[in-house]
Amino acid sequence: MKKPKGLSSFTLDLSSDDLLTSDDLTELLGECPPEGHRHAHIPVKARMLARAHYDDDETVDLLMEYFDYDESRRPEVERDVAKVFSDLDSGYVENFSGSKQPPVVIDFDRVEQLYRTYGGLYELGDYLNNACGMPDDIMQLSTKDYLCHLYQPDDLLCLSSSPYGTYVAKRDYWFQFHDLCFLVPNPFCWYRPRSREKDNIERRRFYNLEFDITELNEKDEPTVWAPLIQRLRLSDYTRHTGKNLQAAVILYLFDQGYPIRSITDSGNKSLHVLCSNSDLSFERLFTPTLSIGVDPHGRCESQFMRVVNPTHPERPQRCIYLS
Amino acid sequence: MLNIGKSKRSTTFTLDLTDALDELIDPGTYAAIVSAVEAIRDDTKILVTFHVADETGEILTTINDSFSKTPSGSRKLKHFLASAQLLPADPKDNKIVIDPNAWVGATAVVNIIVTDYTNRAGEPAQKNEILSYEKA
Repeated sequence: MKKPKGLSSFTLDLSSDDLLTSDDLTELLGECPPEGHRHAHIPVKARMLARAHYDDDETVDLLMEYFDYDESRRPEVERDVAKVFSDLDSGYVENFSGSKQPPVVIDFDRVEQLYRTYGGLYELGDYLNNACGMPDDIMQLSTKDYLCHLYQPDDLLCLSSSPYGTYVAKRDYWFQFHDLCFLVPNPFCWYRPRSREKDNIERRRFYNLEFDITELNEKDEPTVWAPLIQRLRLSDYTRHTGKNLQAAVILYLFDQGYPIRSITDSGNKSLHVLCSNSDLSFERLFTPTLSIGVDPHGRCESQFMRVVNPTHPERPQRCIYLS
Repeated sequence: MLNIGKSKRSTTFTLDLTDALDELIDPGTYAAIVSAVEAIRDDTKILVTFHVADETGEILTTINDSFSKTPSGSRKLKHFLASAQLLPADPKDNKIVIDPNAWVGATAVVNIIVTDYTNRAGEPAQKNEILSYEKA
């Protein structure tokens, strides 16, 4: 059997079984959700601990520590954990892997306030030109130049012309194609057919903030954003679109110091903001953006984003910012 | 003949290592034979593919599970090693050297569940996952 890259012997300490530190807990369960969202995470985190071979009593103790709850919250944690272990005993479980996130509550008033404060697409263009020094020809940046700017030749990347692509290959392999639309921003550990899986991601090097702020969905039905966009349009008789609100949020993100590496205009309704995760700030920075219109699917490390391709035969996708 | 000890289903059976299947099976306790081991995520996680067999040795399905080499993942790893009888009887200083390459062919006793999830097409679907590794 061919020995896979990176597979090596290691030493296991059999006595370290019960010494989970706070850091270990964070590593196992991820960053603790913000206050006010923690209760909804109890079942998900309890399943993760059950799968790590902790029993129900241990799970309650560890969750009390993880959520930093005082003892008055113990009964509710015990109740929820008991339900999880009862479900596991039955053998049929919903969302066992814990990928389900609590529902996002969108703060429409906040987005309107950001628009009133920062402005829309015109103001974003002005900021990128004058404050960031983006030349006009940035919009002609090719897919090849974009990839070379962000990745090394040995990086294993997944690109595709369709949202169902799964093929992974080294960076330069992709230069031969002219109809690429999608890119997984994080490089992979290995390559083989159909290896676009979250577990095959090397590490979260980037994350993508893609906005759901549109008036109509793909079936031309009004979205939850339609009332706000239509009201803004009526109030000052300008051509308001979801993109204006997206631009306002992006200006706010610049103001907040988000590590923005690139912005791609999908050519249709959305702007895609690629952020660097070099300081491992993902959880701290991503979650607050959900309430102002960012697509929660960006949490997944193997999620596709729109890739720069200004010469796409049907749908040019242009870079408007690159750092 | 492989002896997997005091499984809830059986103690001894013959394995028929036919082509791997990808079938949904009922929750319960099964024998799981390691068919492939690979490192992922900078060698901090180990991806293991199991052939899952019933008491007659027939391969019912294949299933993946991963182990973390970090402290937070060590308990699950130890349960797997104990179940697969890969733990030495008398470890020196409570420390043992693990060679994942040697896991191929080992058999563990696993508790398998069925879990609901949403597939990439956005449709509800079900899959098997390993909940726990039982003592052999």
